Amino acid sequence: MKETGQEPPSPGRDRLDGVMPEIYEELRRLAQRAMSGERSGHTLQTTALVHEAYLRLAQVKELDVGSRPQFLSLAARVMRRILVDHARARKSAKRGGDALRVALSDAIADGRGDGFDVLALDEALNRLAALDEKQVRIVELRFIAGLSVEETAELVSASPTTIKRESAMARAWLFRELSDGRARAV
Amino acid sequence: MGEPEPSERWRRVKELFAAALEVSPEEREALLARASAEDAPLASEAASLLRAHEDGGLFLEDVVAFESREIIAEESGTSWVGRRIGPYEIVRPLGRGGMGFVFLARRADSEYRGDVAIKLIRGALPSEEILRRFRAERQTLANLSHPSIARLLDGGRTDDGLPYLVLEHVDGEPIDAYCESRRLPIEETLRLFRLVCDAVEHAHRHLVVHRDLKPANIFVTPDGGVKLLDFGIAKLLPGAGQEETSILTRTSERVMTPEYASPEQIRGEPVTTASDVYALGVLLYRLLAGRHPYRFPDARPSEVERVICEQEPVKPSTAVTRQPDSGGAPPEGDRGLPPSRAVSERLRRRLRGDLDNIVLKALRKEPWRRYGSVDQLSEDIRRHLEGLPVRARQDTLGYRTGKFLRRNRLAVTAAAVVVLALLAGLATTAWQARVAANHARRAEAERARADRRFNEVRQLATAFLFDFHDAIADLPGSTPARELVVARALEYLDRLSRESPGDDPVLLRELAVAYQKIGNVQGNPNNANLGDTESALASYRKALAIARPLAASHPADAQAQRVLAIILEKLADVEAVRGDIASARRDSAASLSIFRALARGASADGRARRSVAISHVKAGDLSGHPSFPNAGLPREALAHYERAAPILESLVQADPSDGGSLRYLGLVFERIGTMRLQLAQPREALTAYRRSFAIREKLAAGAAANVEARRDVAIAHERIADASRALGRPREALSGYRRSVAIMEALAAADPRNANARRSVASSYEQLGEALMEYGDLREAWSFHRRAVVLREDLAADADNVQAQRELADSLREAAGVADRRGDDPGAADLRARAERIERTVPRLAVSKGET
Repeated sequence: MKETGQEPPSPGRDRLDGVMPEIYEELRRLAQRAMSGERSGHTLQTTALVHEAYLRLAQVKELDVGSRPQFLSLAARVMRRILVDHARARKSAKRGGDALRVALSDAIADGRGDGFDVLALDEALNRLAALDEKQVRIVELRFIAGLSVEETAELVSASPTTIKRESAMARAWLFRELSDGRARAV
Repeated sequence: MGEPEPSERWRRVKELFAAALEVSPEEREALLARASAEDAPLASEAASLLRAHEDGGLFLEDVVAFESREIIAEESGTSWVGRRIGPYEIVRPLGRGGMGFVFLARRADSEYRGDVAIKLIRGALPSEEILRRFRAERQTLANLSHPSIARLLDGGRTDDGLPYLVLEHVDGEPIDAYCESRRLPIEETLRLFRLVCDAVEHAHRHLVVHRDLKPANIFVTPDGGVKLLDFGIAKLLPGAGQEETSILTRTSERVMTPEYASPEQIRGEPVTTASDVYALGVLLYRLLAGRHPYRFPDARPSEVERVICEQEPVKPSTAVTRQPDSGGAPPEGDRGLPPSRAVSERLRRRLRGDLDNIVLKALRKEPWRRYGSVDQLSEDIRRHLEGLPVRARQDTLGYRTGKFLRRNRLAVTAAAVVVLALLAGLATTAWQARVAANHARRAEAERARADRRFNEVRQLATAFLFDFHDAIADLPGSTPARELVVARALEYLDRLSRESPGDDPVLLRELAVAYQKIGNVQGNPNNANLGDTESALASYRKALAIARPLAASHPADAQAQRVLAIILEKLADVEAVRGDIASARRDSAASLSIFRALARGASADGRARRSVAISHVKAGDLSGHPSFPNAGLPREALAHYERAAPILESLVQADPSDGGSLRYLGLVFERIGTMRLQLAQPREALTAYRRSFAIREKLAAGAAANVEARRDVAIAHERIADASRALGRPREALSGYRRSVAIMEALAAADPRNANARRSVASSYEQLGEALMEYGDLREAWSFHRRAVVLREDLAADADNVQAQRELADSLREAAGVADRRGDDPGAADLRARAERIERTVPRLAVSKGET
């Protein structure tokens, strides 16, 4: 870790933007590689991805990605952006008449039928940030980067019990936001 | 941590929510009721969240998982399965490269029943670079037709605008897996490898370099043939209408496979067929020894580069006896298990000698030291298979630069830069080794060895920098190569000078000389140069910054003094052509005084005295010679020349075989004559010119006579004629000019392609014509001027040759003057009009001969 005294201990906005493309690219690559060998439709092993991305970026690319906890927070945010970017691209492809690909997406959509999309979730997370930024970080770490309760607890300096409580409330709040949003739209 | 505190209300909702989660549903009701009594809106908020908690389930995980699966489908290409591209239906993804997906596809109509491979650019927005590369590949492949090269069948764009290629689908397995799974005997492996060579050689003959040869791109088909895939980064060689760009090593669009990339590719240097020879060498190493030639301690790009560019691979025969995991991580694909001891010993004996030499020759760091072509590599393997002696020999340090240059003057220009870069790298390494050895105070022998290596490399590098440049300087079109040579040389020097500890006078002196030579190449008018006087000045100043303190601190070191004097002299040359006569005279004078001090010194020899003479000549030219930028002081110029003459005379007397000094003496007498003529002393001028003539005639009659010597004689005739004209002796004047014409014509006839020789003929015609006109022979004057114009027109056919254009205009004006005198007014007007037309379009030269 190459920190100078002046730098804040947590990743600042500038640093995030600085290494973002590298992390983004690495995560995409890892996702592709991890999944190309697997036939079943498992959920994305985001935890493994984020951890491997850290190892590769820190050691292979001579990139200053900071300490491991710093990197994990960073990677979680990057994962969120990857999901959002992708969903947005898919949406615009839909508008552009990429019918076949859209049909495929719809077919894959799971049986729950909620069909909430990542874009709506992202907006809801932005609203939640105004109320409780810590909850947003916890959501990113636990549900997007896929870290365990214990790991998340360590990263945000809180007890596992707190993490469980906070994530339950955040999840409930977000679900209500998304459901209300849909109710309004209908 | 850094977040702002949530509001008090939010905190209380949270507390209630958490408390309610901890208890049973019945207790929860009670809890909420109690809370509602206290703060109804707060309790209702918590109740709403608790309902959402019940209903939401794993919705967050689902949303993320859904989008993740979408990404996977996208990234792995499965989202394309079933789609149609043109008439083809995508069956499944075959793989993904730096550029895009490769799919297995089938023709959807009944036109063609076979499978094809479709290569598609990935992502929604292909960059211009990718599109360009794609188009290049399409063109490249379309030109290739060989049974061992995967055919290009079709190409186009999808409905979404993504470009794609339809390629022959190749069934089979990568060559390394094929050889290993069958434990193919060495002979079989070699025969297979030669099939690969045939295909690559075919591509090379069509000016296509593969650039990415590796097992994944070389398949063995079920019928035992080979197929080369993926000319994805192949580019047409320069000269086939395709510009050269350096290979990409950026992470996001990495197209190169570092394990098989040559040092020049790693460095982003020009890539040639020699790079494919290298990649084939790596492949052969893999196939024979079962492992990669290099071990990479880690995967950092800087480390990979260091290993590929600097580390010498061990012989394949040695490699087979080593543990596969020794010394760093093996690259992906290396054989997992070591062969048994007996097997590896047999293999070792089989590889030792020829095969070691062949593989290592293909793997040389310097492109020009590898096989000259893939054919030669293949041929050597054939010779080995048939028990004939092979061309490849063990690498030795006895390699001779000069021999190489003589043999390959033209072919080698492209490799120049690579060579230099390599040498620079070696030099630095050797230097560091020496410094390290010093620090560690290791055994004396070790230090001596490091020193020796350092010096060898330094000498080799210097030889290349300058011999190489000089060797190619006169080749047409070599300027870009020379510029690169110079740029590399500067890089190398700057690095060396930064790293030198500053207390080694020999190294410092060499550095100063090297900067001075660079300056010469950049812009010294007295040798082949790049016309960049600005950079030349900068280099000379760097040289001075080293040489001045060195000379000051080593007053007894004649070599250091001499280096300083030479740098000052060269600096003056360039300052003069830039019109800064004052600085030029100052530096020239400083140079002269150093040379004079050296000539007085105890160790003074003939060379030191000759240097003084030359220095006087230079100072004289700057003072007042009309053919050079000068200060308009003809008497001072004459004084300098007259001091140079006796020095040279005594040198010639002491050693009559000293042709160099004799030539200079001829030159000095010519200059004395010219100054005398300037000072209106034609009689003295004639005497000096006659002495110059006598010397030149003697030189032209000697064993070492060359074209230059004969040309000097012709010029001496002209000078005598000049002086005779000034003395009012028409017969002698005309005779001198006619002799000059005769010699110049003979020289031009002997070398019909030499434009300079014809230029001299034209000039001699003009001088004769001018004299004839003065003496009233208008008819003959007209005939010579006309002949001069005809020659000049021919020379000016090259529109870019500004000097020739300019001289044609002058020649036309002189001819017009004769036409005037002959009363041919329309002829004169026509000639002048032509001259004006040229003068309007051609920029005037900053400095041209005879003009100051």
